[in-house]
Amino acid sequence: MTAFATRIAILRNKTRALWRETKSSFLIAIFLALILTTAALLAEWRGAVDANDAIEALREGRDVAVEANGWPETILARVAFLAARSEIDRARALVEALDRSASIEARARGHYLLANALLRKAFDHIERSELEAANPFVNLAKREYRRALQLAPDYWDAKFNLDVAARIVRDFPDFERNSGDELSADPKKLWTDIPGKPKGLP
Amino acid sequence: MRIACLALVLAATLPACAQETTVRIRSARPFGYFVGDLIHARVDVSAPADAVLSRASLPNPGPLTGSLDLRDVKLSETSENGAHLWRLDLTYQNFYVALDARDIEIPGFELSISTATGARTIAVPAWRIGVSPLREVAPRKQEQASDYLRPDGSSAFVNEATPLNLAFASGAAALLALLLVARDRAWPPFQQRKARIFSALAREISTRRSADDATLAATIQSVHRGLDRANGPILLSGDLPEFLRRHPEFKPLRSDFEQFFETSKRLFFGGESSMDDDCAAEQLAQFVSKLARQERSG
Repeated sequence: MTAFATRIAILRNKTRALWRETKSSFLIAIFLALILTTAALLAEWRGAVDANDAIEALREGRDVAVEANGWPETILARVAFLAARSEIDRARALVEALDRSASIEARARGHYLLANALLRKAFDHIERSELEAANPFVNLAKREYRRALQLAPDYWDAKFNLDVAARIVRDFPDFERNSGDELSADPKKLWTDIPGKPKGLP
Repeated sequence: MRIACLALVLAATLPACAQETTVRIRSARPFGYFVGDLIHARVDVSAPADAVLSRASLPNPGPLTGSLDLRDVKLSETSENGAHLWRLDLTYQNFYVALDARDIEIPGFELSISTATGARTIAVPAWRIGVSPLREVAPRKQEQASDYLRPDGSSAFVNEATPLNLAFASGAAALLALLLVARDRAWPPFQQRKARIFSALAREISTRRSADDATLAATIQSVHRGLDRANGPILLSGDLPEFLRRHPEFKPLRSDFEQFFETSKRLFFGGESSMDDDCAAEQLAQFVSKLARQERSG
């Protein structure tokens, strides 16, 4: 018991001596580390403010260039801007950039915005009675909605709009399925059809 | 995964060995799935104790049909009453857009097991769940086609408060660290700071008295050493006026100093051995604590 107590005391004295020796350099190191952390946080805050300025501009309808590896929120704001103006190809490039890095929610929203743009384009064609041209847009939109739902199964807006898209062009399986997981869901094995727009009585 | 026990239970009808292997399928609920909903199912397969399940025969996550995905397969194994029990937790996702409430089929699959009598396959039969529509069949007429859609929604902003608050906290901590560094290196405003000699001494004496191993001589000696440290060179009774001139904060204690030196002289040089130890020790402790108080105020 006493040997143990002595050992404890020796250990405590050694620790104290070590603390006295290293205290000065330890304090300096802590100070420098905290300075660096503060600088990094301030830089992050500065970046966030810039990003919010860009988002504000995009929401008001002014186009601002964004970096493909920037803040996901900024990229999403620009995707929304492009999608509202039917610039599908440029929006798709940004959504693909999001897919590489952003969070699940941001990716789901990117696919949803892209799908909405595609479906609005299909509506344009349908209103001009260009049913053949509308068909691929509807199918692309359905694929994007499905992607969004695969990422975020509780995305109710995506569910609703997928419902809308699926009623424009129905999928019909081209054969009876019976044996489960060996079956592929190859889009070529589905045939799609668009119901004709009634043109009124003859 | 919440699995209601009332779920549909299917016993596999395997003609040859029905008493040996059974398949049960339970789902959280067999109805009311919208497009995009996850369908959780639990498949319990029991087989003879020596059976081994081939992992390769498990269904692979991925699209199953045009409107059904298998997202996740989890397998757990237990033994129960001499039978082997495999529990498959399957997560499907429904993409069938229903126009009315109806049943769709979840395709079955086959598992291969090998037993002492050879390899066998167990068929997990197809089962059905009810899907529901999300909207009415003929929605109200809208002016524009795109009004049938849910809107894009507004873009979210980046959270800028968190990094700013963290930066403030970190900056405050850096200032504190700077203060500690300044104190450590006696930079201004800490250059005046001196060791608290008498505070330490007062603490030491009080611990010694409470531990009851204090002799008066040892205590007086340690007070002498403390005074020497405060003075620089050794402090004798003749040096007292000079010491008090240099340390004016101790001037009010002049009579206590003189009494202390008197006691010390009597003890070490007067040959007196019949001193009242307790009373002298008490006086000494009071003297040191007064010294400590003056030291702090100085």
